[in-house]
Amino acid sequence: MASTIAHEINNPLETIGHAVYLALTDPETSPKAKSYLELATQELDRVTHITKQTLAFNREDRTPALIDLRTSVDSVVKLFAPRLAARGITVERRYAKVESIRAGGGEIQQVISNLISNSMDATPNQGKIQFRVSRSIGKNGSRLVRFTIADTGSGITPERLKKIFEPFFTTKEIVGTGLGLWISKQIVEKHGATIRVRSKPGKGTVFSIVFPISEEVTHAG
Amino acid sequence: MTTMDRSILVVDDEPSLADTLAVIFQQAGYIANAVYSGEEALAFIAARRPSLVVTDVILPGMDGIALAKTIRMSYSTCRVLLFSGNADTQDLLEAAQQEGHAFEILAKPIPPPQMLAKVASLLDQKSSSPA
Repeated sequence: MASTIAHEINNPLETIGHAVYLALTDPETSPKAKSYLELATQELDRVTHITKQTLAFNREDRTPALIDLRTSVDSVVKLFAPRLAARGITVERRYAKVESIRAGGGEIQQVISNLISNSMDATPNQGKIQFRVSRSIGKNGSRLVRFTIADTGSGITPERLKKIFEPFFTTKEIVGTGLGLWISKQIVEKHGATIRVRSKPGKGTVFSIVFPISEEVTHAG
Repeated sequence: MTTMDRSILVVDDEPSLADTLAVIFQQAGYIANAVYSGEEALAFIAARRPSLVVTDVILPGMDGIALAKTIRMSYSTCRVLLFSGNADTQDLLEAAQQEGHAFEILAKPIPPPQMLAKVASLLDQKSSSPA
């Protein structure tokens, strides 16, 4: 499904990019029109960035391997560190010793990245985002790994919360694509995991993902 | 670099995309044409022998990877660059790789300056070392 949407979005974007470029490089285009086209190019670059971020493409995203969730969280937090620091947002990490999961490393980083990005958008300057990786036990006694991200942001109303994983639903007024959480849910479920959210308006939001531990890890230990 | 070293064929089943990309190549000084299927591409290559084929991966009928494999086997001096807007092309690429065919692929959308730089680099390689 995601790849179909990627195709339906990326092909028109490619053609728009061609058309804007041709108009921009046309010697008959007036300076005023060029300034509008440069603006269009900037915005196109922004949309391109969003689609490449949410509709991932590279090989790493799809190759399953044994990964340590703590390492995945650390690497994504590192990417966001300058933006978090610029806004004075405190990051708190609590990691238990957990088993590895079998997953596409890039895909998992994409999910974590989407969640951090959302939390940052909801969290005021000087706020706090907490990450937790812990052990859990399934109803059937199976061993699980839980990842939790909690923010002190604006929270989400119950009405909006019901729709949060639907495609093209966004709570963001300007920059939201409405695809990030939907894609994240697809990726999570592809890995046999589940994603849940709870939120209190004015208090903050907590997303948690529960992953099964790889059978090979279970058998080994 | 001769005139023939600067000839490019664009293959994409979306005519507006293929046509505008061909115009971008023409403006940059290349001889560029566009066709809309793998079968049309093969007929064009047999007749005109372009030095580079830039092809979409997902095409009706013969897909871009089958086209690329045929070009590599039958027209060894022609270079191929794949591009795709579809995330599911990895399986096709891996299948081709298992048969000994490794291809480079760019993810749409590709800003035209980036595409032009890539094409220039491929054709420069070609002029300095035959494929």
